[in-house]
Amino acid sequence: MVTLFSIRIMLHLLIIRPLVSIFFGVNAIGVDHLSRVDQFIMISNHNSHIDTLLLFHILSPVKIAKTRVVAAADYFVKHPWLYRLVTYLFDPIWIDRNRKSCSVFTEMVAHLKNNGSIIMYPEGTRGTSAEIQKFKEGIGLLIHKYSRIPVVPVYLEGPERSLPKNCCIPLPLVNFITVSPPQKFSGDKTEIAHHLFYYLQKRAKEERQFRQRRKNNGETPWCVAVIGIDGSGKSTLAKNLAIRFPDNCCFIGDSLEFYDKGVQQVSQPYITNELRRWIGRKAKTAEKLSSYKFPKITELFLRDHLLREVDRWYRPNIIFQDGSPLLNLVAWANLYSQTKLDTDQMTNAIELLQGCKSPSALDHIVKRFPELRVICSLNLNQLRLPDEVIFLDVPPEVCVFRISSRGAHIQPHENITHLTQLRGAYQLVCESLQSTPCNVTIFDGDNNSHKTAEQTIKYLQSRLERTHAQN
Amino acid sequence: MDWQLNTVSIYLLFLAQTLFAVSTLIVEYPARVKAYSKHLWLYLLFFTIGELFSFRWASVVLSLICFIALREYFSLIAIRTGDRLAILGGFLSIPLMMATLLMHNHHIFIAAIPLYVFFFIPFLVAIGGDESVGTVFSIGVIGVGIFLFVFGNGLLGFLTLCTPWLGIIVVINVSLSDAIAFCLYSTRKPLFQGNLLQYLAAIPVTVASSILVSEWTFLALHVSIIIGTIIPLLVAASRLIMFHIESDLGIAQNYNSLRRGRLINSSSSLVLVTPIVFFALNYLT
Repeated sequence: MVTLFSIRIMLHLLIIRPLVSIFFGVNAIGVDHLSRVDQFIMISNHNSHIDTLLLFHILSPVKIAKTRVVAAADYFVKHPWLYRLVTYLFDPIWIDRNRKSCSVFTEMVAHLKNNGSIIMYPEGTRGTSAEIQKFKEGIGLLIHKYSRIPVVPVYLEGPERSLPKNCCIPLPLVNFITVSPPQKFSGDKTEIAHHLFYYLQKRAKEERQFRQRRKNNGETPWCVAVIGIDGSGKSTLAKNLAIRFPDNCCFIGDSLEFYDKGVQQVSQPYITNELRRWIGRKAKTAEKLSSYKFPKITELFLRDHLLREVDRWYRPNIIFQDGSPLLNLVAWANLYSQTKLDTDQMTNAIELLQGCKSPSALDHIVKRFPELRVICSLNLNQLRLPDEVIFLDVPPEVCVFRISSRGAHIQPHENITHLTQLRGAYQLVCESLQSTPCNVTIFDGDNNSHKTAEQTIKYLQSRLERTHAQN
Repeated sequence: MDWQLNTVSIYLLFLAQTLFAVSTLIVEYPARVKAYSKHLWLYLLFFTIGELFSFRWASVVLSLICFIALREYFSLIAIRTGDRLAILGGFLSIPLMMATLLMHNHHIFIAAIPLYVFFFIPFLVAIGGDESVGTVFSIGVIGVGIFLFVFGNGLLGFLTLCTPWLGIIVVINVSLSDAIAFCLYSTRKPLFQGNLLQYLAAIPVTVASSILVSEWTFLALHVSIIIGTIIPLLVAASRLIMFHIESDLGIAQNYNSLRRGRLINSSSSLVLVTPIVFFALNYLT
């Protein structure tokens, strides 16, 4: 027996529903389809936290009482008050995406057996845009097992604009809910998942046809990072490339320089750059490795921010970087760590620092490097992965000789032991980049710097031509 | 409660419109008529609340109309993530409008809204994201929304502040022009010359209605005639403008089936005509 006059349902009808209507302007089409079924498995695209609010908005009081949504516990458990509120209002079937467990499926089955209905987001997580991500096979398995229960596909349009992922302030924009007729499926789980995916994708395509269009954004600059240990000549090579490459180039190293077909251009002073250089100098004059760490990390983040600013204000065609904040950070992390990271862990760390994966999904790495959690909580995990990486491989002995012959202050890590470790870390970084879109090439940096620059330019030009041809 | 004839007429108008709006729920009307009747009901609610209670309460209804229209408009435009701050700023122009309305200071309003669109919105667009590409588009598209639905409705509020019937006659004349044109032409595409002819047919009716209520609008006879004449012409021009805006927003052909742009379509004539009538009245009186 369903209790219709519970506080929970009253809250839905008298508070949540009017608030959602006023603030978000719900526009639902095909809600009649829901009145034809007593029990259902509702599947929908997932782009925002307000998706569940919208889906409950179209349910009758009886259906609110009988419907449970499958939600990610690993996300909500981080905010205890939100977890309690969501548990009370929506009575979700909590799923922990980091653990593979059958208990969730058992709970869903038990709820369906009890004549209950289920709302599921088969994409598994919120998408970053209006694009529909590939469906998880779990939905196919559930529908396959309960093929007698009708499936109601719902397409939501608007939540990805009202409250997209990574935004915390919702905008009052109208949301459209398109409820499709209930369907029954037969076939295996993969087929069902595929069918539903293409069905929702078709709906998304139809809806997008009516959307206003903007011109495509301009091309983002091609980002080439020259990496290597101290004294390998990476800074000289990156600058040489910026000067000699016949294009509109930018060099980000100890200085920030712009070149148009080899002619240096005047640029405005950047506060970020000045700050970064000042902090960089502090790091270089550090006496101990421990006092080197904090200014160096700060400098790397500022350098990455500078990359965005350069992209925004100057839009050069190619940016040559002396090192890459993302890759340097990962290599240095390996240097500091007592237990070394393997290739897979490095790939995960790179994805985490790019913001492609959440820290909760990579708990084993975050536990080892608590700094990563701080970086993610400060929303600094937006580092850019270069398009092309040139690794200048030079033996540490040669580097130490070059550094000492400069006559400048020798940094705490500029000794054979540390540089050997760092070289190993960079080699590992290059290996871990194999599974990313970034292309890595290793050059022997022991040669004459002009010869290396010429070789690299030839190589980069051929790469650039190939990229243009592919596009 | 005030039971003078001009006040009672407002209540009667509202009552008649309420009955018509309710009838649209029972009788099958074209979707456009249904949407238009809802929008007209909202405006008449604004005038009625102004008469029944006070202008302060009526301005809340006007703000609600602005909010719904802006919400619908911003839902249809192509926005970048970086524009979210500016869109929030766009919504904040509604309380600004309300404040100037309640201060009865149309000088500040007339200066503030363009400055808001000219400086504050571009500033929010600039600090909202790191992407420069599309900035002009964003500023333009958000500015158009504010000018249409906040500036246009705000000036209707100022007309109502002078005398309620001044606001009402603009709403009624615009609705009459639209209704007559709707009855006369079957195609929605407003070919300007053909469309203009249909709106010209509304002129005798709008002139007559302006003269009829001139005692309550306190307008001289010649001003009433001018206002009655220009409104259908302005509505014709507004329809043409809105046809192109709606086409770009993707709602021109399918707004009925997709339930998009209903308020924009219904209120577009009014919000484009009101500023011109406001300035014409300023000049003529």
